[in-house]
Amino acid sequence: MITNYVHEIVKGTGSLLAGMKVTIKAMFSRTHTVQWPRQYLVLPERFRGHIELVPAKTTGFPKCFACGNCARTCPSKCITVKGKKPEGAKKKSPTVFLLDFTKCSLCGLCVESCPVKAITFSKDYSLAGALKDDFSNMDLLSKLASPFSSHVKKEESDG
Amino acid sequence: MKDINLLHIIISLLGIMGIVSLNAVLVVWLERKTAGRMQFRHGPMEVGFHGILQTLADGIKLVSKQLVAPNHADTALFILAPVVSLVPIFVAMMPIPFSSTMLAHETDTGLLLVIALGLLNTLGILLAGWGSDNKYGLLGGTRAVGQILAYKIPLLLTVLTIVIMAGSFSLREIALAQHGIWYAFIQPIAFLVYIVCIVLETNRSPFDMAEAESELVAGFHTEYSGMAFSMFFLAEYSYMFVASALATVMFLGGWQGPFLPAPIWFVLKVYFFLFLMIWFRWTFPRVRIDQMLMLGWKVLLPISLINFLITAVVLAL
Amino acid sequence: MDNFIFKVYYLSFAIVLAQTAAGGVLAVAAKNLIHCFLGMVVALIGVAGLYYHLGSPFIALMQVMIYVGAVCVAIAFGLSLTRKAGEEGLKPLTPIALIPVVLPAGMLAATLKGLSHLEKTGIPRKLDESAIGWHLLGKYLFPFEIISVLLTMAVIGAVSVALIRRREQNGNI
Ligand code: SF4
Ligand code: SF4
Repeated sequence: MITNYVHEIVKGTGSLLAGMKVTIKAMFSRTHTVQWPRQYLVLPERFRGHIELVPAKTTGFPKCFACGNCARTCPSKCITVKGKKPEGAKKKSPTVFLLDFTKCSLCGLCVESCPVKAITFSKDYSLAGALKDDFSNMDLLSKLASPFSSHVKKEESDG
Repeated sequence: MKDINLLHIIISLLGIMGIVSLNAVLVVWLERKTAGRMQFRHGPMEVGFHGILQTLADGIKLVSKQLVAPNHADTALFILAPVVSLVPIFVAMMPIPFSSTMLAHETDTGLLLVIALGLLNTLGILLAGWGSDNKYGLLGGTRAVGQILAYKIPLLLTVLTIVIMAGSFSLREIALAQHGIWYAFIQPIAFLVYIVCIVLETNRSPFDMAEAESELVAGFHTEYSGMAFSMFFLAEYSYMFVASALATVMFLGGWQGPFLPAPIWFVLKVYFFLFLMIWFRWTFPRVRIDQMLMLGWKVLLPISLINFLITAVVLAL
Repeated sequence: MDNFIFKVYYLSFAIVLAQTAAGGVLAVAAKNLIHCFLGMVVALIGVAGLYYHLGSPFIALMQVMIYVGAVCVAIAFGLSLTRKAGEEGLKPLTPIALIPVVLPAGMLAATLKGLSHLEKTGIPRKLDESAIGWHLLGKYLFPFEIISVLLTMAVIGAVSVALIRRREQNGNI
C-alpha cells in the first residue's frame, strides 16, 4: 500500500522529468519557422503556385504565341488570352494574358496543353492582396518584357 | 515607529514599481521566446532586438483600449478586482532582500508578510469572476478558490519547515542561515513540494484551471479588456516573481554566491525559478480540477507533514 | 519630526478604524451576498491593520493569513455553491439589529471603565514574536492544547459526517 504510493509518486516525477527533457531538447534544436518576408522557403521542383508565362531565352519576351490552346483546355475557363503580331514578326504575341486565380484549381492542364511550353507553375507563394482584382485578374504579362511598346500594351488591356 | 524613513519608502516604492514592470516585460518576452523555441518557432522577432520590446508594444496597445464592463456586471466589483489583485504585490515586494542591505523594508516577519499578501491574489480572481457576470468567469473564480484550499496547507508546512530550521521569519536571516549549504540540498523534499506549490499559487499551467482557455474561454478575465486586463497580467507575472524570490531566499541561499555582486546572484536565481515555471507551462498539459485536489490533499499534504515532523524531531534531538 | 510621525500614525489608525467599521456595516447590511463577503474581508483586513498599529505585526499577518486567506476563502467556496447572490442595495434596519450594536458597545464601555485606572501610553511598543511562542508552549500550554483537541474534534466530526452521508448515498444506489 505505502510502497505503491511512493512508487506512484516516483514514477510520476520520472515521467514529468522525461517530458521536460523533450521540451528542453526542442528548445535548443533548430527552429523550423522561416522569417517571411525576410526569408523565403526553397520550394521543391514540382511545387504548384499560380501559373506564369515563360520568357524566351534570347529576347526575354513571352514564348507564348497566343494560340489560345490553354484557354480552351482550362476546365475552369480562367485564362483570357488575346494577341496580335508585333511589327515585323512572324508569330503573334500575347497582348492580354489574364488569369482568374480565384477559379483556378491548379490542375495543370494548361501547362500540359501548351504546344511551346510557354506556361509553368510559378514558385511564388507570397500572394497577399487587398483587392479581389489582385487575384481574379492576375496580369501574367506584367512580369515579362513586352515586344510592344508600353502604350500599345496599355491600350489593349484597357479595351 | 521612529525608524520609518519617508524618503527611503518612497524610493523603495519607485524601485518596486520599476522591478514589477521591468520584470513583466522580461518574463513575458522570455516566456514567448521559450514557448516558441520549444515548438520549433522563433517567438517574437520584430520589435526590438529579437522582439525584446514586443511586450512594451503590447502594453501600449492594451492601455489604449477601452475597458468595457458587461451589462449586468457588478461594476464596483468589476473594477475593484484587478486592483485587489495587483496592489498587494507592492507591499509583498518590500521585505524581499536583493542583498543583505538592499531591501525596502526590514521586518522580522517578512516571510509571513509575503505569503499572507500572496493569498489576496485569489481574492482578486474570485471578485473578478463574480463581478463580471459571466458563467466562465464565475467558474474560473470558483476554481481558483478550490485551488487555494489544495495548496495552502502544504505550502505553509514547507515554509514552516524552513522557518524552524533557520529559526526566523525574517527573509534576511533565512538567507544568511544558508551560508554554508543551501536548504535545497538539506531539504530536497520540501524544495520539490514548494516548487509545486508556487506553480499552484501563481495559477500557472499545468494548474491554470482558473483561466483554462480550452474550457473556460479565459476564465476569470474573460470579460476584461484594456488596462484592467493588463493589470491582471502584470499581477500574474509579479506574483511569479515574488514566489520565485521566496524560493530563492528559502532554498538557494538568497543573494549569496561567489564572484558576482549579490543583487545579480539574486536575480539570476529568481529567473532560474521563473524559467522553471515557464518550462513547466510549455511541457505539461493542464490537469483536471479533481486531479489537482488529489495532488494537493493526497500527495503534497502528507509528504510535507511528514517532512515537517521529521525535521522537527531531528532539530529537537 | 516626532510630532509629524505621531500625526501620521493617528491618521492611519483612524483610516484603518474607519475601514473596519465600514467593512462591518457592509458585511451586515448589504443584500448582495458577495458584497457581504467583501465587507467581511475589508473588515478583517482592517482588524489586521489595527493589530499592526497596536505593535504586533505578527498577529496582524496571522490575521490576514488565517481570516482572509483561509476563513474567507472557505466561505467564498461555500458562496460559490449558492444559486443566487441577491439583489443590489442595503437591507432595511430592523429593531432587532440594535441588539448586536448595543450589547458589544455596553461591553466595551464596561471594559474601558474597568481599565480607566491604567495610565495612557503613547504608541505601543513592538514585542518579540518568539515570546509568543515561548508563552504558548510554556505558561499557556494547557489552553493551547485544549484548543488543538477542540480543532481535532471538529475535523473528526466533519469527516465522520461526510462519511455517513456518503454511506447513505451509496446504500441508496
Ligand atoms: S491550372 Fe488548370 S484551372 Fe488553372 S488555369 Fe491551368 S488549366 Fe485552368
Ligand atoms: S497554349 Fe501556350 S502558346 Fe497558346 S496561348 Fe496558351 S500559353 Fe500561349
